[in-house]
Amino acid sequence: MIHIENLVKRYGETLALDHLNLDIKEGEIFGLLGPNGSGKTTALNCLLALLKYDRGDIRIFGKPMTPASYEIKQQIGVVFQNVAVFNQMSVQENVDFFCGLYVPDREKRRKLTEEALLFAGLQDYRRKRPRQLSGGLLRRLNIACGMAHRPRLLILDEPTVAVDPQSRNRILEGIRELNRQGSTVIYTSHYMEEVEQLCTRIAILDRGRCIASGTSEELKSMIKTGETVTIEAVSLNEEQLADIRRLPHAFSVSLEEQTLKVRFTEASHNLVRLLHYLEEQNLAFGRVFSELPTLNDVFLEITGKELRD
Amino acid sequence: MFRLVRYRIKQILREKGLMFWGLCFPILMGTFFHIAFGNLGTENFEDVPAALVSVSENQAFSSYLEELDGSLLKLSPMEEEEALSALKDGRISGVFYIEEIPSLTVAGTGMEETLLSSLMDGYTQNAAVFSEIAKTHPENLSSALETLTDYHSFTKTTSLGGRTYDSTLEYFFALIAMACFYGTFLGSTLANENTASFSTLGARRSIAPVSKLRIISADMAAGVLIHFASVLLLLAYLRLVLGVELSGNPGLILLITFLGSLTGVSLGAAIGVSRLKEGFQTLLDVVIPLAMCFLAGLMVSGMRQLIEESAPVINRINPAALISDSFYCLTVYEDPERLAVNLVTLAAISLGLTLYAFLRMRRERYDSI
Repeated sequence: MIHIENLVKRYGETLALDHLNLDIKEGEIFGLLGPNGSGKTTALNCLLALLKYDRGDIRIFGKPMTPASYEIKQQIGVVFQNVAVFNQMSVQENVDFFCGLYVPDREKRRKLTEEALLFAGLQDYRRKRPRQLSGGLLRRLNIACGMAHRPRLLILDEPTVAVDPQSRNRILEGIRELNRQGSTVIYTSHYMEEVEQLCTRIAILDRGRCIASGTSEELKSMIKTGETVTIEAVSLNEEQLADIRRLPHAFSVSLEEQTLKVRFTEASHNLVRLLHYLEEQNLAFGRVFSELPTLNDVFLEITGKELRD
Repeated sequence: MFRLVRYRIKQILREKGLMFWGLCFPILMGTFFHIAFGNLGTENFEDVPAALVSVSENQAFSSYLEELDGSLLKLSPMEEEEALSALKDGRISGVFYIEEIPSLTVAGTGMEETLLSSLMDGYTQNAAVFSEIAKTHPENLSSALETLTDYHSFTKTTSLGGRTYDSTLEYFFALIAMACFYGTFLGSTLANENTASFSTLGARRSIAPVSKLRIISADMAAGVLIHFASVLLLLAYLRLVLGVELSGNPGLILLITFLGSLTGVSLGAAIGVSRLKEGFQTLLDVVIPLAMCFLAGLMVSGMRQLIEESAPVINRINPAALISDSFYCLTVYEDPERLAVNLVTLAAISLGLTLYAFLRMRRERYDSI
């Protein structure tokens, strides 16, 4: 459905996209994950023919995308990171206006506007002006304006930034529903949990390059970490740390401010072995956590830095 | 297309800032002008109090002052000492001495004193004639003096077109030009909301499957329509409420106003697509119209004439001067050829600006967003 090949974009001396390659299939919820400045929004703006780029090829629905590709644009809906609505118009007028850019038929548009208001939970706020809405409701209006025309491809650029948990859950559930109804979704975020929950396939971007892509499980299987055990309030000497490093499957041990973090390559019996060792040594300790690998671990292992940075 | 225009009109009408600058501010300025100098030349002065001191007989001068008593002067016969004391106390503004060679004493340089002096001068310049009439045809002295005091009937400022020229009209014509150019704010806002590199709204509209020509045409149509209506409301206010003389062919008045509004909005659109920073754009939206209106005589009376003498080409290309001059052509000069040239020039300027704005906005990909 979308094919991006060797996309290069420079802002002066800064390389924003470095030979980016992406393929997105129909029916996917495709996540673009990466820290701020990794090139997610730039990639989307190039995809939408808003930005000039230095090199590369972009095809949507098998056709090259240009500013005059109205046939392609007709099938795309976009929810920008910044809210883009008219403050002088009511909630309903905004949805109707943007829907009307795609759907000229008045009756059809009326029905779609109504559905979009219902979808975003804004039916009780239809006569309000955007300034009268809370941050979460405003984001929902932004989404309603982008998807009211029921696009075949829906692009959402960090739609949940600064949104309360209730609105966030509603937005994520709404995106799943749209996908079930047939829309292909491209979703960018720097919230890895969100991407992990929502997306059927994920591409991790760093410095304008796609450093890994696949399903969440595929990405996690690419890395060494199978389990991370964290133990708080524990005091260990060098000899004891060396013993822990020798435990089966342990490959990374760190102790910072009395918090022990041990990474294991496999995820079975590690916690029991570690606790057994601490008991043998008569060592007191506080809370204990065991975590399976996250996308942050994937990012950390590949780039050597935290995704949250 | 109609839906786009309808929504734009709705949106602009609800934007208080745009409506204030486009409609309310020019009306306030018009009211201010009217209060400041709208009544120049039509004031009703109170009769100026003055003393009459008879030193010796002078029939002609006595008759002259009698003619003025009750119409411009309030004369009180007094002894010299009493008169000087009243003058010192400020109860009277001057003392006329009736004697062979009449004289006037005043104690200040205000408007009342100036009036007394000019009346005295008026008599002195014609004294010989009046003395002769008093000697030879005393029965005609009264009508001779009447002609002197009724000087207004002999002098009247008229234009080449045969209409009365009122110097304050220059301010009101420049005000109409300024009102037309407050459309720059509207034009800039519309352009910004179509420019993806300037606003997310611009990005959202840029990715819609609607040609830029349609979107920009709808925006311009809505903007010009509303601004044109605002300027018409100003004209109605000036004509009907403030009584400003805006005579002439109504169709041509509408045409001048329409072209002025179109030029104002398209100038704003051209500024809006210039990719300058928002603050600098706002500055240009204020400074360019002000500069044009300054040169057209909004702030300094006679500026347009000064430019005409020193650099006439500026008056030929300054849209504010063209609008102001078009109103002169219509209401004062009655010069259809000059009016036609002005209107064609205005149309060409607005067309050029609109074309420039459109070319900058259409099918645009940006270097950065």
